[in-house]
Amino acid sequence: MKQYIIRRLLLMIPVFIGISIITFALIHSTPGDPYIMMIDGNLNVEDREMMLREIGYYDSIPVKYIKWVSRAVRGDLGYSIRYREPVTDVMLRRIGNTLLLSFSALLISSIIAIPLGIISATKQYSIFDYIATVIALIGVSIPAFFFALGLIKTLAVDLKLFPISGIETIGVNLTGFKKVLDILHHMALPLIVLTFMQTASLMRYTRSAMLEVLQQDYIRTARAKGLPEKAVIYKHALRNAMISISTLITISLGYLLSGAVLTETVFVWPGMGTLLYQAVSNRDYPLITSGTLLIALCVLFANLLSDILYAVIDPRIRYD
Amino acid sequence: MDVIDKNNKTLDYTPLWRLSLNRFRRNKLAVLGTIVLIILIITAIFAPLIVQYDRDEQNLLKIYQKPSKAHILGTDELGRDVFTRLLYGGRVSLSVGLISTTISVVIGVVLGIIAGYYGKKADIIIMRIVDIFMCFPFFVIAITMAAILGPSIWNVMIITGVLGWTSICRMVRAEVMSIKEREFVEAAKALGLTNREIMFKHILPNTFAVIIVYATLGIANGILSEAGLSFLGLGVKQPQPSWGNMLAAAQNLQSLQHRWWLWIPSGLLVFITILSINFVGDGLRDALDPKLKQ
Amino acid sequence: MDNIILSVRRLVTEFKTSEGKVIAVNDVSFDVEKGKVLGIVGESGCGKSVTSLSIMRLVPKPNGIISNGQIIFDNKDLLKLDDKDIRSIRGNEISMIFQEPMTALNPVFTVGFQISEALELHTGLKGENVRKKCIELLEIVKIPRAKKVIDEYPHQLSGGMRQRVMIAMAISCNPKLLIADEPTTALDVTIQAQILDLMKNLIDELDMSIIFITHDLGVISEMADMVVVMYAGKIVEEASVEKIFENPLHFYTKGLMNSRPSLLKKGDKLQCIQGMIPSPFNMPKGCAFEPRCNYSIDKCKVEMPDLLECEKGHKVRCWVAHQKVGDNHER
Repeated sequence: MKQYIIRRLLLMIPVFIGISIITFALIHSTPGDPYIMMIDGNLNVEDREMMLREIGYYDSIPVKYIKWVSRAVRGDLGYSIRYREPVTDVMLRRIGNTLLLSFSALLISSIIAIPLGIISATKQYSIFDYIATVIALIGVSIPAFFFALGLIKTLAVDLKLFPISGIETIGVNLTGFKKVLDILHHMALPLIVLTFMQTASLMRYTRSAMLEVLQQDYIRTARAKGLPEKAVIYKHALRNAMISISTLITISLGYLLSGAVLTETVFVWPGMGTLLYQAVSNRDYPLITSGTLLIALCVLFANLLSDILYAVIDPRIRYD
Repeated sequence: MDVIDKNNKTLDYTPLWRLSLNRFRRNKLAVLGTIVLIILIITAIFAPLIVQYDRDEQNLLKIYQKPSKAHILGTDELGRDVFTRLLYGGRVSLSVGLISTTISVVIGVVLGIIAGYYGKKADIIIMRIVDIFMCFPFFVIAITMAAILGPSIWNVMIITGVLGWTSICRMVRAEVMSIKEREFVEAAKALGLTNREIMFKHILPNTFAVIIVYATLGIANGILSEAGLSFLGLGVKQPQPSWGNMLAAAQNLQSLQHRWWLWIPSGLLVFITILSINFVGDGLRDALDPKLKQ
Repeated sequence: MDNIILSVRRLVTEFKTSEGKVIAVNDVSFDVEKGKVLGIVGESGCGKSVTSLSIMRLVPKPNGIISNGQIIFDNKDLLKLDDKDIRSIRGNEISMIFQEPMTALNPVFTVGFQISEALELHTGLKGENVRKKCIELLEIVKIPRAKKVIDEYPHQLSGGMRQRVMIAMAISCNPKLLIADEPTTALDVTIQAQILDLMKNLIDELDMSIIFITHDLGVISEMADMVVVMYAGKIVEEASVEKIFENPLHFYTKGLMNSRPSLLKKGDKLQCIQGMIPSPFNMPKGCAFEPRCNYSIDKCKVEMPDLLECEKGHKVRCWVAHQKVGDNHER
């Protein structure tokens, strides 16, 4: 098992290098001159040239990349042009908010979606199945930001039940439990959006995974043993279906981290998504590069987690 | 029906596509989705014949008008007719979906066949590329690329197409790997056919079912990406209308609160289109894949 | 009738499909005697597997329905039992072995777990005793290293081993009736012989009746006491194994016999039955075998014959055979 994980980790390295090269090349082939903004406009031409040379403005992209990597491995991801502080500091302030939102959405949706998917599959073609399937299809079809706008309009603007945006009430200094409540209050709407969409796709997936498993011969064997239907479904079938369901859940984690950009932006939730959107609008290259790579890294680790879970649940996977 | 002749066993099979068509037709939601999509496509194509205004016709005396007889879905901030722009916007959104999917399908199918057919090194390299692309946070890369390439309808198509080929590539690869083991491929090899002939004439047609299902869902993705990018101001640029950039009107709190006709119709259209495509996609999957059908 | 353990009467099982209703088992009746082996023979699709699933009440829901008949086991009509009561019979008094050992065992549970499930459910054994009994069962079915295999997963075992595990599972609660649905079809020939040997030994050692379903007449001649031949959902011939092999009366049975290779008659060409079984949506009006029968008479096309006793203990559903008997009587 340990070897299996190490091998998987090693496999991640070339993929991550590939991602970093593409991201880096992409971002540094951008026209425009963001470095200019970093420099005091009152400097004379010669000083300016010198500074630009110093910060590597004239280097070719491969040289820039190597310089960047050698700094990055030492934990120096550069300075954010916009925030004028280390990129790591900027990101550290935001990543927690994104994780809070996406983990909550993932947890709640798993709790709702898996039982619904199982019931839907065991009662295939029933009214329950029909309604659940249609609602799930609606959930995977509705554009996140449109749903979000609808919620803002009805629940926040018209009914004033929730705040429109942000993570806490501005201008009030709350502490302790009150602060938690305030954050929860702000979190509700983006959480509803992410949870609904995640629940919809997870439910659909659970349903089809269960349907496939329920057709297998070993389910018939389990019934032929005289096992009660509950044991057949929740022990024999679910255990097998969980192999693919757990994969989907962990992969969704990566997806939620990166896919929440629109939802975060609409609600101005101060997470990585909003940060990256603003970074792109501001052409804040160091921030875009590191932010993209950080999310890619999270996705990679989510995939690793799914591989490990797969190996734990499915005895057929050999570790060597 | 199998008709069995007593002496020589002549069998008349119903062609596979007919069986699939019959199965598809029995799925009411899929049929409904197909009808809705056909209506949407027709109205988009014949937009100029349906509406009485020009797409960009401004009338600064009539801005932000409520829906009325003259403007059934009201007017926008420049006094343009919203209904007219919705129909023209449909052209943009639907063609972005179609063209970006075509790009994804071409890349995904070619790489998928090569990886599945040749295996070994080609497979390892292509699958690593797939891994790399799958780890990219789609919207982050998309908005970065959009910022670099500049907002335009063509760039949206390219971005969505280039970032969206991985799942189809994986599916095609898996299909090819299993088809490759079948006898008819052996037979084709024994007949001395070239690899290219075997791959594209004999194996490719057998992966059509998978390609069709994934392409359908890809179109939905393309439309969603267009809407998202345009909503953020990184997609289709005004004055050209698209469902996404019309939705962006809702970023104005006044419009969000008081002028529903500016953003709800375009949002609903995106939603209905995606929903219909998903209905059709589900129907196609059930119809083309007898394994999943009970 | 004391020596009858299972009596199937006028069983009809149907499937709803998107193309229409399919009658998979059509008015089937037979008895299984205590301690005896009943063989059911037929091509795939003739309804033999559905018959066995009907006895277990395991016909896939909601599309499969047992629409008529009685299945009397131990003076109870299995078709009238509620779910709880039929579950207490499944795996306990009647158990089943399936065709595909590769897929019939759950891949995510150990062999020991899967055997002990039925034991715990039906015998009330607990803890260490269950494990002991499992090892004992694995040894009975002649699995080497039983103590190790018990903690292994199905994918670590060969097909023959898995089928032994299935047998161990099936006999774990000393069933009165064992239904074996093509238990050797998916196995290599040498493994087939071993499994058949094992089953024969088990019949001698354990006091149980067996329904042995197969398309292989060779297996039937080795295993069965009584034989039922099924074609297109109906029984077409029924007799003791000796009578069937000495004097097959139905042309379908004869066809099956002729399509077997024989070591004795070297050089003879193998014969085969022409054509295919009729589509369930397009059943012939008369005898279902008529389109493939070379000896059919006019009557065969229009009317389905009944299953009649032509000799003592030898029933057949064939107009030609019935006529011959009639002629003999007249003479």
